[in-house]
Amino acid sequence: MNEAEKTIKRIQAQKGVEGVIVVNAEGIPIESNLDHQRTLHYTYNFQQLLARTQRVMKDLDPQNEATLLDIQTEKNNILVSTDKDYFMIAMKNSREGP
Amino acid sequence: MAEVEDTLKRIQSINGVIGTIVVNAEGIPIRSTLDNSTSVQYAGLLHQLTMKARGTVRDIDPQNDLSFLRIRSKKHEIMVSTGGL
Repeated sequence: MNEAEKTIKRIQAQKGVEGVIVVNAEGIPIESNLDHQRTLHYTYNFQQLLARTQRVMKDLDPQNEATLLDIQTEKNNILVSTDKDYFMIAMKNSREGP
Repeated sequence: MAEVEDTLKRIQSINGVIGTIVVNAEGIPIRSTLDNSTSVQYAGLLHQLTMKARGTVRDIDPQNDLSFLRIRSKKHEIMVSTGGL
């Protein structure tokens, strides 16, 4: 298992973490511990939101860009982390874990 | 109203806080510690983005709702509290 896979497994094993999806530059989920339908649904939705967020950040300051989107909802917490081409979505149940 | 002002002052006095804006349901800044054009720009863009984020959350689960949004960027961090709006 390479370094990336180890890190993903470690995050997935954290208490309260319900799902982790890694999406590549083409927008294709390359790693997920959720079922296919949910994976695609989340990927599509958060890719759109992330793209929108980046446009907002560029509008505010062309030299800046978002690196993390932390979405807190009533039921859970969704973290969208991005770097260069890839992005990762992690869903955490807010009642458990850190 | 005094309570709102006190809360704003308290947030603004926290170390590292660059600006605080209170935005109404139409995306218009009603209170701000920043200059007018910056406030209007941030309020408008972030209001729209927050609505989009809320839509995304509801799309995934209609029973769920957005309560807080945090955008970390290379230079700083923007925190949006929806407070029921």
